[in-house]
Amino acid sequence: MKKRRKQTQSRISNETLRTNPERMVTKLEMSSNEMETPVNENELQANETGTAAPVNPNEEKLVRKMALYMFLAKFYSGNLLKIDREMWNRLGDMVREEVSFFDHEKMQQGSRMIIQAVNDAAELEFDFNRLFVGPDRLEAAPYESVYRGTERAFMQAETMAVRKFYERAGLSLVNKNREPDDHLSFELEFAGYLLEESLEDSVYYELYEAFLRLHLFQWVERHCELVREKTANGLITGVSYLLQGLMEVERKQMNVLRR
Amino acid sequence: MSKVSRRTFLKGSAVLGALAGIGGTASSFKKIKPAKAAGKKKQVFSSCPRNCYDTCSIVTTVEDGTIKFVTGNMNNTYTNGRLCVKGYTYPNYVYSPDRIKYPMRQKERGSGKWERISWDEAYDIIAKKILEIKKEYGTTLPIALNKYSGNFNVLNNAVEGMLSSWGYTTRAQGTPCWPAGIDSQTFDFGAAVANDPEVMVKAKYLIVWGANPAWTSVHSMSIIERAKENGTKIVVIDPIMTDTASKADEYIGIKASTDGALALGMAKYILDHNLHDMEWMKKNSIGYEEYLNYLRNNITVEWASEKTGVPVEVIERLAREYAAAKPAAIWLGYGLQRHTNGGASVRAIDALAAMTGNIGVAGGGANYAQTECYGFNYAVQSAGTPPEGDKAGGDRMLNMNNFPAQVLAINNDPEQIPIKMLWVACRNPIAQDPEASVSYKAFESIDFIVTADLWFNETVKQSDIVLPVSSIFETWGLTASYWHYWVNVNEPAIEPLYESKSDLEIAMGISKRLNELEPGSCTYPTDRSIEEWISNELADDFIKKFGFKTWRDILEKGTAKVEGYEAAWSDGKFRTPSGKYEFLSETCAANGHHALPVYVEEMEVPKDRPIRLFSPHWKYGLHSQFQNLEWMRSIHNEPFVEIHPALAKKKGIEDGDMVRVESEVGYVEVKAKITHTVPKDAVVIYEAWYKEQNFNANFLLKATPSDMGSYATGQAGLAFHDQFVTVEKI
Amino acid sequence: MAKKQKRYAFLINLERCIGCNACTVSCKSFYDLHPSINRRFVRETSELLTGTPKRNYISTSCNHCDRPACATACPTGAYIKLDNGIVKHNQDRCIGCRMCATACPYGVPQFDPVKKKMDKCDMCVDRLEAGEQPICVVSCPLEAIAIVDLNEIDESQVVADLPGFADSSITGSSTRFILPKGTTVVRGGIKSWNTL
Repeated sequence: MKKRRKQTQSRISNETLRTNPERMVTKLEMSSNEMETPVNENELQANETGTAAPVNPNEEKLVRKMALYMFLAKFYSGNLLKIDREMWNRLGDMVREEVSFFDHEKMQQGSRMIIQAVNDAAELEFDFNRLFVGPDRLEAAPYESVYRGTERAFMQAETMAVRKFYERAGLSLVNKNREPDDHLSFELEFAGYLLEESLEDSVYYELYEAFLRLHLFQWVERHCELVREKTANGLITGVSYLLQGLMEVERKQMNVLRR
Repeated sequence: MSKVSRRTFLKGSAVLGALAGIGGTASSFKKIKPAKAAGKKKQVFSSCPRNCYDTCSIVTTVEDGTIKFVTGNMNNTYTNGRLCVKGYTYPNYVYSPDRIKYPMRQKERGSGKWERISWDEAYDIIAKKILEIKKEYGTTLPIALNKYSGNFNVLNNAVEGMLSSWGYTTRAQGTPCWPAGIDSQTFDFGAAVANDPEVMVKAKYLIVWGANPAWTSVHSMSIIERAKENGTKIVVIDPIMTDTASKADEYIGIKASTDGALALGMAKYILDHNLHDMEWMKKNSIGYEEYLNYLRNNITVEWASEKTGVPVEVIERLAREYAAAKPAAIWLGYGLQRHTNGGASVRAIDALAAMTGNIGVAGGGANYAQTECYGFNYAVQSAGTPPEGDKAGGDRMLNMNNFPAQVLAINNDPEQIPIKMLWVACRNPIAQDPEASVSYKAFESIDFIVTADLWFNETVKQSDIVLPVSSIFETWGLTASYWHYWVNVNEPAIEPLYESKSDLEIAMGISKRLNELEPGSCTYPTDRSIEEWISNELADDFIKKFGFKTWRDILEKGTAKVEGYEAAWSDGKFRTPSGKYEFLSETCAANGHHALPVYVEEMEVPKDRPIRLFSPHWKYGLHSQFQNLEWMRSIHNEPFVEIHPALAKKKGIEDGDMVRVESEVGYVEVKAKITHTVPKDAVVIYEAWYKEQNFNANFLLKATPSDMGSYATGQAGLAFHDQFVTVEKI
Repeated sequence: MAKKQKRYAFLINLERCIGCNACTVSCKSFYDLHPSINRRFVRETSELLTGTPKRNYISTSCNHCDRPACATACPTGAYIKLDNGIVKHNQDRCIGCRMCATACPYGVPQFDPVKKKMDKCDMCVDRLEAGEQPICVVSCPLEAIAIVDLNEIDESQVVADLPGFADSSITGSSTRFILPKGTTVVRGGIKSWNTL
């Protein structure tokens, strides 16, 4: 578990970076260059020959978070709109299980609501589209730029900053330039990806924390609150609590206060 | 942590397992080499396709596949490297979160319950509906099209072609904007052909009559400013002291709808003082004797003064100055013909220009519009022809300017083939048509409504299916102006956003599905690339006009000019039946009007609604577009009514008060703006609608027809400025 | 003899300005500004500016004053008056305290809610140095905005003061205006006045 140690070191250095985002960006650029260096094959071999690694509680939590990011990303991508009550029941139970690893009231409230509100699945698509897709003016646009300055114009500075972040992590949208990079589902999927990669390379954990600080923390909670203002749909409300709760858990761990 | 143990972990999450089965496992991301991430910068030519005099050639700067900035194309001497405020909002237009992103179906019209569907589903639903209608009625006449000027890219005529390829259908015909004047000029000259506006600087005297280029044609306004600096006297005749009038040397605040009387009064003075050009009339015209006799016997300057409110001595001075200046130009705006006597007014002004020999002269002219640049093949339109065996024998034409009422009349009459399906493209009829309440009823009487648009609006709200249309920056295009003599090409600058498609792609998509369901049911070609389509639009002789070898040559500068229109009609070959300028037009008489450009009485002001309403064009919008973009809203987002201080005082209204403006058909509640620039007996509300505000200038408008328009455009125009209201403080 | 240092200033031709805001929007687009921030301002001004009533506008941006109040008020020295006349704001030094906005008699500096710093026009100094004109100058469809050298301009043809525009002597505003000309107005009486 050499890499975890490295991660701890990075956290300390992040303390100084936190006050100066611009310096952090430079740091991140360096990090992504470092990623180009091949992984030490011997190190891998050594682990693969061993039996299943002992479960580290931190890593367990990390996988749970990853699962929640994937759930939230799929939700915001619109992929969960057509599933039936039965499937929502199952998903709700599974989400509750993931959430149980975190002692956090909002997350638990979110998963409870999802389970209680499966009847709202019938109207989910209409409510979801009204809030997030259209065709009418979006009631709770799920785009970062909408909450950060460039109110109702994509592909301006805020969207491009997200794009640059993806690129630093060596990623680009499959639908680049056809969909704005700062859609919530992409940002959540990306956060999940960074967590998954951090299991192998702690540099990604630094990227993950930086992405939260520079992007998700800047708008997601406000978005969740707006969603709850605009809808009574229990499923969507439940998801908003779950997402906001996850952000709060991460804030606490990273010691970043909401402004 | 090894890959093995990592997999073990991942398996530990039930959610991940369950999610894998929903919506596929494909990632939204792909891996790239960080070094390659930086995108390239490029510039492409775009073309603004709006219903606008200026039809600009645009240079679009694209970085990493994203539009960064738009500006005017210097190669186009009319655009002059500069855009209007609306043009500069295009990056916001393209990247607004409020664009329609996917094909969607509404559970119940007006319910706001929308579900996303795929293009295949959309094509399937629509194609099946078309076939069902055809089967039930034996014709496609129950399918109607309402399309107009939201996008004048020639490729958008694919929509008309698409409907023709299904069979004969019902069409909204005509144009709301300019038909009375088009008829007038067609009667007088044989066609509307204006001088190249870039030559306006040569005028010694310029009368801008019922036009407001400071708001609706900023590039012409720039030419006017240049002319003024060169010593041209600028006179603006308008009931409203517009921004154009505010830049003039002299402003004549004429009583609305009496423009013909002023022109005739000036002509009478010119005739009485022998300032007319008898030689020109003899050589180039017919009916001048009758016209001059009409002036001698029926017109006095005193009468003209009484009608127009313009003092006798001013009319006399204007007449002297106009006749003495060589050359003297008149720009006839569309505002002055939006009256029940508008066509007659245009004829009277044309006659004034002709009798002074200002026709066929650079820096002169009676300049209204031109359609000489529309030399396209219209291949996208003609590619669709009704399948063999269509018994209807022809399309059913309805008047676009009274479309809802005519739809209702048909659908309430069991003897007629009803209208069951409506296709809306390039238009927002509920917001733009008069008598919105009738529009809602007409929409209710139609079973199935498809709207193709970029934006959600009142029409989309009343539709079953909405299809996302790509912006000009995402497809090919060709546009021509009805004012200047440039043709612009529009190259795709970026990829289409979301799942948007152009109207042409939609036409091909539906055709494909129709033929899969029922081979031979649709004639629209499905196998051509958009580039092929665009090359088909430019015929060899049209290309030759520009000195090009192939159509691709236009891509070099993005724009090309049709030369030879410095002085329209200078060859003396008029396109009238006589081949001459017709002061006396039998064609005009045969269409139910006077043969001579006589005065036609203006519409009587109703006693119970004595205040005239003007609803002219707004500077931050073009019809229903632009005003609701965020960048525009940050400058202006509140409707207002302009009221003269004298009227305001009489009504106890102060600046900023909310007032209720009520017409025969509707009302709006709006903030008062007190200004000396409007007449005392009229109010002005600019043509616009505002998102999330219960306001639209068109709520007040009645579908009163103008006198002319049906000869050249198929249908009479609308008397937008013969609307009468009451105004009260709330 | 050494070439005399230029003193750049905006010259606004109000006879040409149609109040269209093309300058405001093109600047916002070019510099990717927050929607609430404008570096140019177009305002309606008195209809009676030239006597007979008509529609008049003033277009202004930062006036790049000789004695910039923003610079005096700024606690971090974020504003500097360059030799070429331009008042430059250094966002790196700015702490977003808004003292400059309070001090400026024209209300020019604006607070960027995202960057948490002030923002204002720098006369496109980078473009000027590269031999290009500012964005508002090249965007204005009426060519109503120009950059002039105050050392060269004939001050008798221009004014520095307008009604509704703070006295230029307070901070030495460098902006110059060409005043609109008067328009002869003919408007007939309304006969049916009593029935309205």
